[in-house]
Amino acid sequence: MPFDAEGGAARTGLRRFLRDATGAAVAEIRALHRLPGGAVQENWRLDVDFAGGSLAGRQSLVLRTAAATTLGFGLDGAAEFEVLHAVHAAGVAAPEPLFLCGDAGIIGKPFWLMRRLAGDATPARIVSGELGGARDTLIADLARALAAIHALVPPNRDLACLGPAPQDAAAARLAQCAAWLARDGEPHPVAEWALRWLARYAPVPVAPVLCHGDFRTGNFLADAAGLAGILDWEFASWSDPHEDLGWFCLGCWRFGAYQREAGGIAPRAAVIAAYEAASRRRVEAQRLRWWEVMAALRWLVIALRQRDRCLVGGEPSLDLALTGRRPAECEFEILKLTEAE
Amino acid sequence: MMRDRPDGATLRRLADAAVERGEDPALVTRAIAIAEREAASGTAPVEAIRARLARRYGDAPIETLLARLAAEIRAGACDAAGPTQAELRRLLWDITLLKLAESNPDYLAAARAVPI
Repeated sequence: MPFDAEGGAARTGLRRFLRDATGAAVAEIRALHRLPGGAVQENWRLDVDFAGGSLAGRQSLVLRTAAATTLGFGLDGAAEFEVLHAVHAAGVAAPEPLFLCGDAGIIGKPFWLMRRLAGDATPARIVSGELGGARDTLIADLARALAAIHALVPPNRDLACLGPAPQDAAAARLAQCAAWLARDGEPHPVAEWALRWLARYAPVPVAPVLCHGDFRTGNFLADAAGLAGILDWEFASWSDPHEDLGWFCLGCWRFGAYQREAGGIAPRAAVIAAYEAASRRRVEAQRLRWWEVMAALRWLVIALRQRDRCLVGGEPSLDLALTGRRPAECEFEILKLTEAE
Repeated sequence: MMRDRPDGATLRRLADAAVERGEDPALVTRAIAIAEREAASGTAPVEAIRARLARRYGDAPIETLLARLAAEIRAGACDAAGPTQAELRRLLWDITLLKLAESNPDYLAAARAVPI
């Protein structure tokens, strides 16, 4: 954690960066503490009083930086910042990115800053209905956000960080998961079954769009009225739009409300109808099922890597260690979804 | 390992360290619950799976047999509908249900309540 020492060099460096970036005469840090969640990246709440400059007044920001150990895949901070710039400019409900600092000398590692949005991403509060307003309102908000994300298509100079779009996003994702799985030294028979099933039933390629890559309950902020903003863009890529829908509907992301297949919030049909209305795209049931199996496999291999950040990388996190016990959920979903050939 | 890692004993050790670090008590509770369920199950369920795999692949440790199962599936033996696919899928289901019952029984109960 870069800010352990109160008043330490990291804080001093950060104050100086904030002054230089905004042109303020003074940037006084009023609050700085780690926000919950964020297994892949650290998020720090940063409240600052600026005297003059482009952000004059009191501002509530979020500082985002890499965790002590990394997954080894996904976008780096600079690329995630670029993606957030593009989607925010396109009108997607997401935090406004402000400044990128690639200099590891300021707080000990590169970081970037965005405006902090009000709201809460706690899954239990959202699936219980405590947050997010009426369920159909929240689902409509999420579907509109997803449609706006998917409206960004390659080539797009503002999203150069994503590289060229794959000719066949499904085949590319399958190859990526096979490679990740091969790196794990242990046998995973259900994952092998998934790889074979996915290869047998691979969908024909579609024109790729920008996909969030981790679009699920827990990765968006909700307030009393509905959606406040989509978070965590480090897995963004050019892909089949069904990838985000399949990930959103995966059983692992329903947080105790398994019967509500759309993120624990609503029936699956509700999100499909809302998305089709917002995007003017047609959701194909078989293609969606394929991407849901892919979602289960992808979460399985990510969970193995998260586990290793603790067991091999030495990051002291019980949360990461417990993620190593989550592949069984993915395996259940894989076997369930592939029950009928 | 048939069970996913970290095993129950490791989870207990990590949970103790997490308490000292002041990590979320809910995580500690979850880790200890998994360790307790695993200890209560003992080695019998894993041995039962091992014995079924041994009938197919010959006597060997569970790790070796699971690697054989994974290799057989990877080679395509399970692709076509038929007795082999049915037998291997039964094995995959039984392994998965055993692991999930120990790692997250609430998930298993909720998921099984929804028809496939």
